[in-house]
Amino acid sequence: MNIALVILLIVAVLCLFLGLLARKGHDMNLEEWSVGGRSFGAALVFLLMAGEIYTTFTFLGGSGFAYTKGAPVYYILVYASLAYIISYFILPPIWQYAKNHKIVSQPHYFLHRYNNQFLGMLVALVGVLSLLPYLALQLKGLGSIVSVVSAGAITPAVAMSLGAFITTFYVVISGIRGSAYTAIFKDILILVVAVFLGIYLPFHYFGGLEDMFRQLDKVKPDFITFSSAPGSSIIWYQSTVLLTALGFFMWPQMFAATFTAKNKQVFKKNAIIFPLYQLILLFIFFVGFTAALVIPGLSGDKIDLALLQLSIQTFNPWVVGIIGAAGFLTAIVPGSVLLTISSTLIANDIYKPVTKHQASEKQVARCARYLVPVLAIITVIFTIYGGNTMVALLLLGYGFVIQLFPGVIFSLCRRNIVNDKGVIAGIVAGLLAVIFFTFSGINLKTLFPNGGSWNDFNIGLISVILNTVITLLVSRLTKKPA
Amino acid sequence: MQMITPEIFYDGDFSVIKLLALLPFIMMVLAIPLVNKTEPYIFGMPFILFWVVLWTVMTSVIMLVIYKFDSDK
Repeated sequence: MNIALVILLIVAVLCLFLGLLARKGHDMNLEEWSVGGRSFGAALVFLLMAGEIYTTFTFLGGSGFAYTKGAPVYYILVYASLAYIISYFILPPIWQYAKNHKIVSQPHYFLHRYNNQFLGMLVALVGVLSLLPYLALQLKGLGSIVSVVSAGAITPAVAMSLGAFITTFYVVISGIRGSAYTAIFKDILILVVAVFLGIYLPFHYFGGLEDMFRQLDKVKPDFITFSSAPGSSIIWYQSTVLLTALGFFMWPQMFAATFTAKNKQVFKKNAIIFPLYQLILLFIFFVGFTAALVIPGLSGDKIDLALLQLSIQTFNPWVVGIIGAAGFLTAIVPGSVLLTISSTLIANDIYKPVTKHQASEKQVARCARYLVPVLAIITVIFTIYGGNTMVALLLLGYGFVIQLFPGVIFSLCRRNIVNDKGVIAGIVAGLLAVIFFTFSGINLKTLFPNGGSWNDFNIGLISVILNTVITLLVSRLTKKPA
Repeated sequence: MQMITPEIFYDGDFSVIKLLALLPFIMMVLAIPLVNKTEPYIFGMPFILFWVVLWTVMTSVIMLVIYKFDSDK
């Protein structure tokens, strides 16, 4: 067994231990289990949300995206900052409403606002559908990390299954409070690793940051600025930034994290600090750009391993172990939150209404617990057989989850001009549009051959515009005469 | 006609200061075509990347200003 792997294992044990420590002395009814009893201060809500920002996708996917695409990667830095601005205004009223009505989940919020049981179940379904591919990505990243760090001794499939088992075990014993505490450890580690790699690698290989960028600009012109190539254009960037900034807090785990806050000032303070926190991503971009020059030629799903491959080539196994551990934690912590939220969504917002609310609190909690391993196993199977389509599925997840945005925004209006039927019709129309564009092979270019760079417009954004129009229209048509 | 006033502006008093929140959207989304260039390099970064980083930091500053003037806190 090599040193790198030993360090990974030490971190895994420490991770479990911290989770257990956090759980001690707390009652564990469903509300406690899934939202930590609504008693987290600014620091913990910050960590919980931050825990959801630095996932394997940013760590490996962010550097991989810089490596293969160049300038479009800047969107990752921008959209979250814009999402925090939006959060400053929309989260406090959502939190207030949730507190007044003892709401613990996103479907419950819709159900309560629009007084429609079916809408609640639809929202739960949209949430789980969006979450599973996201969870699958975490496990895939986890599998690749362990496999690469063990120098191929452990196959990705075995590593992934093991990771799913650890995550499941971790969720069942610790809940969301455990995740928040582990996030502290994880975020310190990722901060140190990202800043170190982002500064060391460009200096080590090129003598400085500017030298690295100038070299890159010479070797690959139009790479570090936006070009007119499809998927690298300014239109792509602008529409994708808007889609992801608006969709950011619609993810069930982000929405649910807001319920854990002690008071609404938490969100306003976080909106000040979070954009600065985003800057860690910058260093991850530097790693990806350096890799584009030093180890060109990676393709397919190997792209996401650019950061690890470059690290293995540069450092001794001991350092590789620490980097691997950081990556490992960026998968386990968000993974555990995603699992908790998905199982709670199904138990609370689908299972309970299906039993016509006959199920006791205890039965619902037990259902949520049993669902954790079931969902983990489904995700592992999905990941192993899903192959290369994971990134496509993540974008599909974003396309799905953004459909909840109009319903939330209208619910915050002082006099809501839309009703339950409108919101249901809007969500269904938006979902169908996303599915159509994703699976039919028809894209904007087929529809508008002369559209030029406008064809790079994000389809998720088009679908949500359609959703809004349908929501307004159906609400108007089904309005009871005054 | 009844105004559709979102709670988001009702929660605290609406003030002109809150319009500052639009600035990062303008600078990091709309203004991108004007700054899509590598020169000059600032802090080792091509200009476009520097611009995005600058406005990320400015977003924090702007939110701090808005928070200071927020009547509901």
